[in-house]
Amino acid sequence: MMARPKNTIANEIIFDVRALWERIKDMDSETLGKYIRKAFNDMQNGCVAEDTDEFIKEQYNRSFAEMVRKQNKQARKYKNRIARKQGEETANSKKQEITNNAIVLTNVDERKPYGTCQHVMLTAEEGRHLREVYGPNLETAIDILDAYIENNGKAAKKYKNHAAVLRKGNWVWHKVQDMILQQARLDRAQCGMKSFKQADRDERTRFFMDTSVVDRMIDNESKAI
Amino acid sequence: MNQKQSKINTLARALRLQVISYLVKEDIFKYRGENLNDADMSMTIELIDRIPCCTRKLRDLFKDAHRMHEDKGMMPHAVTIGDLEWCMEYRSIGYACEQRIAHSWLPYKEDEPLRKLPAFIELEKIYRHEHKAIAPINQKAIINEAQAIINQVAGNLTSGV
Repeated sequence: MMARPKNTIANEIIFDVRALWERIKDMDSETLGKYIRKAFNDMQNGCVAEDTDEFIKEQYNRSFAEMVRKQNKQARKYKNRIARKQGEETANSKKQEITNNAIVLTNVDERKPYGTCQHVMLTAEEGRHLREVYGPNLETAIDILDAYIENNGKAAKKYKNHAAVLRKGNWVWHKVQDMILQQARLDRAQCGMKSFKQADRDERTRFFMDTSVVDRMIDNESKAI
Repeated sequence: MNQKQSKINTLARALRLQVISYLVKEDIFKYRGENLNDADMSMTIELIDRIPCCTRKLRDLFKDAHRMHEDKGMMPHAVTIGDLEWCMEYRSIGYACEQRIAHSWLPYKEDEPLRKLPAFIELEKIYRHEHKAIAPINQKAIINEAQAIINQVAGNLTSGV
């Protein structure tokens, strides 16, 4: 379905139906067809032709006046709206100038959006704490939560405090730890090193099978004999 | 004493000490006991070696000591030499694990980790080529026994009995 064009004369044309009926009631079908076609063309061209019917011209002028009136009204509305916005901005800037020190203090607790989709809201203090928890992996953690909120609309409402979700022990933290471990495993595999489990098992076997103490004891005994 | 016999004696002795070492380390690892340095470890091995329990049943002795902890309502912890001695003396394991049975210096077939010890592998090599198994002899015990007899005879002679 096509959208109707706004502020065009086509929207405003309203024929006086009774007058139109008076005009066309005596016409036969052929004349009526010609009349309608002519009227349609005239309306499209702005009724500038010399042989345009007076009735059609009158209707057109009335509609045109109506359209202009509406356009002016809308222009006034738009101007007012712009003015109001500018006024608000200037008022806000004045307020900021007045309470500049207070704003510096309140900005500390102000939450700013982070992440690719800008969904994760954190204050500077929370960010500092999380940096201590995650270190260089904070960006990954934020991206995980950000993607989750992006894909689950309800999550945005569910989580009141995003810093609390990112804290140690929560699901995001566990996911990041898993990723780190996975990365370490991949790195070890690429270097051709043993897996953690195998290395641990080998170490344990070496510890249990170490017979250096026993060998020394046997040597001492054989010497004594 | 031929060379083979002396080799088997040495290996059986080494196996016993290695088994004790393995079991002590395993117990420390399993029950998060205190790690021992070399001197303490050799002392522990020596003291456990003095317990008259055959090599085969040593693991059972350790298990029984833990069962004893459980029976007494103690927290699970690594066994001490005192626990082992007490179990040997007062619990039923003591009757079962004295060195009287043939081949009791070898660990059980099911006890795979103990059968991977270097001394056992060496013993296995010897026994595989033998039609009749030669039992190891505790040379030290024989010498001590002979010494005791000599002392007794010498004492009787000097006293004129």
